[in-house]
Amino acid sequence: MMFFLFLIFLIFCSFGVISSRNPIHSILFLVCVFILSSVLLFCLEVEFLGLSFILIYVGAIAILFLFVVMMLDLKINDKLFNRLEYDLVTYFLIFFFFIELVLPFSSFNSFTQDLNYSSFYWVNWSSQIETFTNIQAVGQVLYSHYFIFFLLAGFILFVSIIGSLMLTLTLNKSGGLGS
Amino acid sequence: MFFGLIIILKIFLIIVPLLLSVAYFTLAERKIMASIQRRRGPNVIGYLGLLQPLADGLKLFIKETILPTSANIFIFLLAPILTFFLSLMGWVVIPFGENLVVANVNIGLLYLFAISALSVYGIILSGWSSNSKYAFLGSLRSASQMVSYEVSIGFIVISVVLCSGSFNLSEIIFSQSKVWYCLPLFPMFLIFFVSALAETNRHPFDLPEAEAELVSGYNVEYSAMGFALFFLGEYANMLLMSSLTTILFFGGWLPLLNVIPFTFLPGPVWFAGKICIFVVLFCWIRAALPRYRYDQLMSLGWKTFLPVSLGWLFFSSSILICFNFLPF
Repeated sequence: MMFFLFLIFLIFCSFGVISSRNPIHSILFLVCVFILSSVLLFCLEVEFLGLSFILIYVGAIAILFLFVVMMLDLKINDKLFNRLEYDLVTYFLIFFFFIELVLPFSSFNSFTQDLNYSSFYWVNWSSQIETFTNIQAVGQVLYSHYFIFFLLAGFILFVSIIGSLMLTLTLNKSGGLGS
Repeated sequence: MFFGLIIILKIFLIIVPLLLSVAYFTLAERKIMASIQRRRGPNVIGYLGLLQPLADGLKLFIKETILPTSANIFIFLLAPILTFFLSLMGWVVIPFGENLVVANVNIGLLYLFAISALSVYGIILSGWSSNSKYAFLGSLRSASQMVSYEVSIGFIVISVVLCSGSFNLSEIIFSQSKVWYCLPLFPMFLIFFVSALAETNRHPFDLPEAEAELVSGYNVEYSAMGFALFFLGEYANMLLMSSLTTILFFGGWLPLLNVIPFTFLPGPVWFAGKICIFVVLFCWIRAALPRYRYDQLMSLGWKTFLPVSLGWLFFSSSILICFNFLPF
């Protein structure tokens, strides 16, 4: 019940992101979207991922967005025709993705009803006795089965760090590093 | 119904003593600074000036709230509320004694970290919404300072977590029953305390409110209760950081030695005493040290603290692996 309440809030906030005239307001709506999505993760009892969402997206990325948008001298664009054009494209895309999401799920539902899983439902007794915390569960999978993806993600981040360094690097006339 | 009443009672049992201690923190700061500068400090209202914070609070409460005409009113009002609310929210996971904690969550440290990441928003929003150059520059400075020192705090916290094997604050304290982490991780303790000074925008890193340049930083345009909420939030954050230092490095509620004369005092008294040491240190540093320049502050954060804490993380983890000391 709470889950769907937060879900509705989240959808309203994400409409706010694209429909608010002031760019700062739309970033604040974006922050609300991040926080609400982490609340949804809390509802699903994935609290480690939820807290890391808040830490990374809200604590670092959205603050950088805010910084950049505040420093830019943005004019609030309120021409009706222009807005209408953009909005139409956005709503068409939203509709398209919504259909794309709904179609497979509706077919999936009928599929599960045919199988009727409830008849051979079983209790995993070992998990009833032994409990993992979130961090243990993530760690056990991440560092064993998926370690190659973990390393690859690290390399991708490393490449992006080097890329941003190269963009901002200034060289002296003698070829040394500038300050 | 009964359950809800108990929760409300718990919340009040945290908030009321917290606000009282924040009020007397301000008095203690003024008294300590006065005695360092060989003055008397506030001594008129009440016995030895003990009612001064209440008088200050009353003054702020009955002042007129001024809303700047060109400010963004909703965000302008939201920012101090957000700051105050977030500074109270962190206290829910702080253990005051054995089993004396409102929510004993197993990722309490991450929760505290997320809360402190959110509290940047109160400052940056207040600076932007009050539509003034001084407030805007102050808030940008403050936010970038908080974000950059959070990184090194994160690495220090991870090295403590490696030693204790848990994100739960109570278990971190239990793991220090043999030796407090301030001895084996002494350099990390120093860096953590200095980063805590920077994170709470205190001297010598109080550039956001450099009076000579920026009048008063991000809260110039605020008056009356808006200002009071910022003030309370800032001081509650300072108390939170000093209690976090106590928990991570000074064994929380644990007594100095686990022998008879020390164990007579109950745990919360030890905890409060250790917090008081850091509170006095905060005031002392404010009175004694000059202010950093902004580029010095940034180079200290990114070029000194970050590499040192990262290196210490590798060092301590390799020591733990070498001698098979890993706690899990």
